[in-house]
Amino acid sequence: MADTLAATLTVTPTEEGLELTLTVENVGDDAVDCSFADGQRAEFVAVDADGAEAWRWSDDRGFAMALGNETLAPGETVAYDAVWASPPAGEYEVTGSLAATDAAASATMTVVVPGGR
Amino acid sequence: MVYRDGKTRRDVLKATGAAVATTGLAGMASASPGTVEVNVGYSADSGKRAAKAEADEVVREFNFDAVTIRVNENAIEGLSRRPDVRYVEKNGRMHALAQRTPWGIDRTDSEVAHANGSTGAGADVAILDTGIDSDHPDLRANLGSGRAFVKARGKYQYDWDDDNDHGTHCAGTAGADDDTQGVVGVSTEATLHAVKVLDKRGSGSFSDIAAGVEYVADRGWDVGSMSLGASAGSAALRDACQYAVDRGVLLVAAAGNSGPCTDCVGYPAAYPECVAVSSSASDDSLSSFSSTGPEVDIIAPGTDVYSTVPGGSYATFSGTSMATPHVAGAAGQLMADGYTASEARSRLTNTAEDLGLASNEQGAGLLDTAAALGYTSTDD
Repeated sequence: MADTLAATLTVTPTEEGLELTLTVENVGDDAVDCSFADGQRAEFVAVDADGAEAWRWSDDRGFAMALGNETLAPGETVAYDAVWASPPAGEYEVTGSLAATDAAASATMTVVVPGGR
Repeated sequence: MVYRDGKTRRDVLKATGAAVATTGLAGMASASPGTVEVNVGYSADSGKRAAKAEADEVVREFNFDAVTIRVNENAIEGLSRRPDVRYVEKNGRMHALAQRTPWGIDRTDSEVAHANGSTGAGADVAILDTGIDSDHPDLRANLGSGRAFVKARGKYQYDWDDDNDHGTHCAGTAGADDDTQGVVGVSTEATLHAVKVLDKRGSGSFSDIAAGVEYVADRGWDVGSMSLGASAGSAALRDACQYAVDRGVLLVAAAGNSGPCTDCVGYPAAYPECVAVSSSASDDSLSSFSSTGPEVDIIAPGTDVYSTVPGGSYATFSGTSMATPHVAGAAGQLMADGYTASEARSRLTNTAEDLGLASNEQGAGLLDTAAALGYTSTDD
């Protein structure tokens, strides 16, 4: 099932910091049902050049505690946003992943935050 | 269901409900929040243009002077006031028309409290959540004020309107009114305040949530219902909870949906300032998704809970989120009766019904609204 989901990650610098968007597309021929344990639909994590976790989007957030379900029809996409406010200068591997309990999709990209912001 | 001639929508819906009460549930919307399908009759092309301009989707254009559109329900009132619009009527397919008593209301003997005259009138219950639909027929009578720490995204009348579904669902469980339609809450006349701290997707920063808790305390409200959580805590949120409890607020929070698991109660529920609520199913078992741990104070219905969602609709959700407002509604009932927050908290747990589950699963036991209020009931 997970094979039919394709994820892309885009990172856009804004005044606040970095805006991250995880886009998940159902590239298969059948609808994909995604179940969630709570209001968290996606996770975003940044790992620094030393391999240490520098930031995790969910660390300073709370979520609605209802089970959820989203169905992606063939060809349908869904996008989840996060903001990494004031990231320290450095090079990071940033990963966005779907937080579903029964489907997987993730995308990673290298992000360089310039110094002297 | 025409919204004209001084009739409120509630009146019209009530009348319709009475007329078809024998058919019971007429069917539910597959609703996207806040959007409803309406027929608009117009008397001039300008009315037709206005309707189409408001429409998310034009479903049908009749050969006579009417169109069927899908539109945000907040646009309906404005349209119906136009002189070039003859009527705006809801397509009759998305409302539950006879009042149902959700199983959790019955199981907690909240309906016994209602029968004894307890309504929660005078209590202020804040729903810290995704907002509350400002125009739900089952909630409108009980809505107090609203405040958004994260604003609703989309076309809404208020920035604290519910752009998810979750907050409206929780509000209905805590305090949907007792009328002839829809559902009934644990309290039926407590004032429900929307404190929007979660966004359209159902998440919110701890800073916004903490600000919401602080706001509830500063307003002097009785109960803060938090159907939200996270596996890790926040010092600012903990501070906010202490601030609120110091000011006499009773905070209720969802234990979390990490189950099956042990010692996994989320935050803020795990803070001693909060009444931590785990979730039960209608057969009195622990909900499979419910987090458990020594911090659990009480268990309440959370599997397959039927309640209000935006657009005048109803839906069934599961989660410790759904258990939490049962307890918040009962807390409102107690504080309406004059109990302080700490007295109310003690009564809730002292009168809970032992389900025979482990104490880290059920805490003191199942919420018993009637017993907490001092009514004896042999009902289960």
